[in-house]
Amino acid sequence: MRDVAIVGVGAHPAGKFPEKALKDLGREAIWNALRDAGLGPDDIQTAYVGNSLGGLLTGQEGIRGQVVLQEAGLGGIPVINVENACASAATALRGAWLEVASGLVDVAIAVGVEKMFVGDLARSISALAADSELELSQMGMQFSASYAIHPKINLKGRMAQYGWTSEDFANVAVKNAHNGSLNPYAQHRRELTVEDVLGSRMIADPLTLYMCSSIADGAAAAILCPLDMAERISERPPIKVAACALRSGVYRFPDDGAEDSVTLTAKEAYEKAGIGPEDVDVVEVHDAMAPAELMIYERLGFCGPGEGPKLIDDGVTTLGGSKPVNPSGGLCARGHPVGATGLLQIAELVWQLRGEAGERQITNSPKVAMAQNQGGLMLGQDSAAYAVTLLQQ
Amino acid sequence: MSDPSNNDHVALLPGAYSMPGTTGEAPHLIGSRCRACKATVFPKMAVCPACRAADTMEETAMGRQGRLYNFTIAHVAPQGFEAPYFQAFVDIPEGPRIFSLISADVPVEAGALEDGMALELVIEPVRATADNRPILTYKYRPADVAGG
Repeated sequence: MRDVAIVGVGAHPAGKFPEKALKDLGREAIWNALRDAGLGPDDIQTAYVGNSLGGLLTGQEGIRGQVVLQEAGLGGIPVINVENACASAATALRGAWLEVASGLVDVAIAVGVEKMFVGDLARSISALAADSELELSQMGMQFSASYAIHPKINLKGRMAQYGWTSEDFANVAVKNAHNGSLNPYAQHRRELTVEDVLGSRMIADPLTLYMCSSIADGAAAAILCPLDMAERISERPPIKVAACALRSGVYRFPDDGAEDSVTLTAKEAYEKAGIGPEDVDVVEVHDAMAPAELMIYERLGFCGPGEGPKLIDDGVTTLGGSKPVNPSGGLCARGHPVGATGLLQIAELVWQLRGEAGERQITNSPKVAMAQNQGGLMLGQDSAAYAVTLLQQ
Repeated sequence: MSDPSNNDHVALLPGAYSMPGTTGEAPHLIGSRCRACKATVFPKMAVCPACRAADTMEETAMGRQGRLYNFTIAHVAPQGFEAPYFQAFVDIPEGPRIFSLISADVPVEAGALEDGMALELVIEPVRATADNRPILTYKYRPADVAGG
């Protein structure tokens, strides 16, 4: 397998864009990535297009990738449609990576695109619920509530177990809102205080509105090529894809003591890249509900069980800290257009590694970046898809 | 509420629980138990997720009682459900920990439930079909409510 580099990234901001269709969002992200790499549509040899809810929400049940690519001026090449719930975009990236790594093609694009605002919030919420196994969505399992009580996340239970407080949860949302306020691609660009977060509407105890990601439109894309050809293909500094780990959930039995799937995915990525958690300089995590970030710290190996709030309190994971987490604002502030999220994370990390992140640029001269993306909920009490990607300067 | 012995109802999850009939028996969930490794799952599965055997799963009645693992009140709801409503995970003695709704008999207030409390299974409407037939599913309610 060849080493692979990312030589171009682009995004469409997350937010509410009533006048834009799926293909408009995708076109803008694709062309931003092409321009970033200094390439044209004819240079792309294969495309993986991640999208999750477009079938239910727009009615375009099939061929969404081809529809989006044609709008951007790409045709004739192999197009692979990728659906993996909220991890669709990370899964698309892995597909593009694999084609380049294997030697099948030299230039591939990964795209993630989602259109969630369709003028009917209940329909969007229902579509999101359909990313859970059917018996769960039919039973009315609500996405935010599942973060509060689902055995594998159980934020409510963790409060009892570790003494985590609502203030600890609000602190995560406040950190990420600050980052998002500096990000032109973010859906929510305003600072929040702890009082704002705790005073916002209750969604599912202990989660208030500002702790939860909202629905969003958005898109992102990345262009990949072999590392040793990167200088010839693009003038942009190549960012090496050091690991692209993807797992699916496993059937969990209550209190079986088995290692968590986020941990297993991260371990696989660390092993492939030959590095450890201490080597990671900047991270984008899948905080569909901001407090989940505290739990993900543990699962990625950044702290021990229950110690997440200390990383926040000590400023370790702020923009100026030694290990900034969610410099983009994360899913709650930057936004969570579900099938685009994994590549919005990648775009942010490439910008941070290149030093191009503007006002939210982190200051620890990052060399190694990590994206953690996951999606879907199964009857076997695990998420459906888990992805961890490592990038290296 | 509709007459539970009325056969006009439909199941939200067909085959996952006993539907009200004429026998008067307490309702139960229908899951699978592995003859080989004794793993028990809900809903039914054909291949054992624990030992991966393909021909050892047997249908089994379960879940008449349960214990509340955790709950919250959801203040937003997908289509077909009305917020606020309870979301819960319930440990059933046969082994599984399952997602469940809570009976409409229980007022939607945090104080109405307590982690660890004893529960019993009920089969209740969630809503009606377009032609007004009740759609029934499994839910739990505090065991002492039943005694009253």
